[in-house]
Amino acid sequence: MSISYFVVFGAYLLFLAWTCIASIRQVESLSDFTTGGHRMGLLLGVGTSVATWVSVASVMGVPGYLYRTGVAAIIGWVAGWFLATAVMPILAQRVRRPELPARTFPEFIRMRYEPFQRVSVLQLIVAVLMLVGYFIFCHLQVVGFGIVFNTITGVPYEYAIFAFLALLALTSLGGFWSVAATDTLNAVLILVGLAFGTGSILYATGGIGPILDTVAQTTAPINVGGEPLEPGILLSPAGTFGWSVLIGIFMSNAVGASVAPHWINRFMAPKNSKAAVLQMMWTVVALIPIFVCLIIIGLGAKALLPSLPDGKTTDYIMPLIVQQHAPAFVGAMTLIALLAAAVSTANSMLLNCGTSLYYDIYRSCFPERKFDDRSATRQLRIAVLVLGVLSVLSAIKPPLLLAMGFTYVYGAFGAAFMWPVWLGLFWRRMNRTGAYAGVVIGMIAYVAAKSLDASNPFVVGAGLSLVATLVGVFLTPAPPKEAYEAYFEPEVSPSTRAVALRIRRESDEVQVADSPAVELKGASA
Amino acid sequence: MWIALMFWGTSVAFCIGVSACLCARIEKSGVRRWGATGKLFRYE
Repeated sequence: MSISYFVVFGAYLLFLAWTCIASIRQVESLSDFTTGGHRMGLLLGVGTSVATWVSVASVMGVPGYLYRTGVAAIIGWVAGWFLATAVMPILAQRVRRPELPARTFPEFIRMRYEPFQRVSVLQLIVAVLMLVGYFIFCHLQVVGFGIVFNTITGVPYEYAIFAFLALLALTSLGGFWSVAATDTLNAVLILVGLAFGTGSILYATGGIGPILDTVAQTTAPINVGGEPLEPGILLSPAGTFGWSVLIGIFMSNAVGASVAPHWINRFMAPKNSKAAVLQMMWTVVALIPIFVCLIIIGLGAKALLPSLPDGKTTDYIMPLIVQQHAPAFVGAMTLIALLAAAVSTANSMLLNCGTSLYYDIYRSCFPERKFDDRSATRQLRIAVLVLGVLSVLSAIKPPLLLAMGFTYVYGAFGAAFMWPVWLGLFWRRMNRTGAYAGVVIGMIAYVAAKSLDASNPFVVGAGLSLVATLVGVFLTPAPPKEAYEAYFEPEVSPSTRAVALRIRRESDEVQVADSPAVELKGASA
Repeated sequence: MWIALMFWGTSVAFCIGVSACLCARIEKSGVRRWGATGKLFRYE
């Protein structure tokens, strides 16, 4: 490993530490820790959304898809993910409408469906699902980063993942402000690192023209000794998939991702409803140059390295190409982009995991117990740290079950939460029974369909979830206005406001409950 | 290649179009707490 790597990494760590310390000072309340006090501005909002969006899986996966399937990957994955992000402003403006919004996704479910329950079972179910799902995501980011770091630098995998833990702890312990601030830095680094990598690939290939000429003619198999490709297939829009399969991939990527709980959490952070809309719009715009780089890297890799060595998957194409065709400094910058992508996604997942465990499960189980902000924030930090340590320990010898679980989690989230979120935000009649039916049936149907090797388990899960939701809604009475009013009306009735205050007061402001001014601290837009 | 890029471009255009419509609705509502400022892409 050259001196360039040490210099670039050292600078990155220092900057990260400085940003983290500066952000920790911003955390004054539990709302600050979980959602930035609902007062996040556009710059940080876009930065954290971009960095969370771009994970190590997408930075390594997109060039890999391009290398393997050609431009069809742009339709199936890139356009699909962008369409998912494109519908997010519709959700964001509704989620951020209430004057007293929820602090977490499970609390949002509680406010919308069980506002009068002392202990919301639905909130607990959703929190447990999130805890398991985000722990798996976090674990996989650690494993992915460890493998990449080991491949590029030769640093042993076990050391790499513990170094990663230090970065995770540094960025997660400050809560949402720290995650957002470091994510914004990471978003810039991802773009800069990928721009360097793209530049070196364009230089090595002679530009975009020669890349397209080579890709149009190549018949080189994906791996050495594999089956040759059909000439021109990599530039064919449907590629080797065929249109029906490709549109299926496009739709499943587009539909499922929009209701992932960590995105709903992101929508609660901006200052107001309009800021939430603009945050997601500018996120899509900011993602364009990042994906242009990834597309050039993926196609350029096919021109530079027609076939991968036997046994290597296409996920490794970017590190391999950078190692072989870029100067040491560019290699270090590209590695920083990968590191930034892994850190920014994992810290967000870890924060979701920690808040689910502490805020939505532990505190919800003890509604009578009093918590003050300071001790709550400290305990939440401990929960985040413990989960971070566990995710790294589980990554030392990654169990196969966890890796298999990855394919389940996103689809299961989509199938379980899609209708309770969409219908809850846009249909006043949507009620508690419908939400229970949607979450439980969606989850069970998805897991069953996946276990039975159904061709599209998400469609099965989401379809049955919709049927169960509608049956539940129409067989039971309409919800009380306190459940939906805040998401539909600019001004809410005193009873709705009282319910929101009670839910929030139960959580972290119980000791100052007599003072409305204090109760509203951090919640006003 | 161009067809693939068109899918992507359409997704981006859809996002900007939807966001503009949502911002316009917030402006039309005039609710300052939702971010209405009198200008389409500005918020308080």
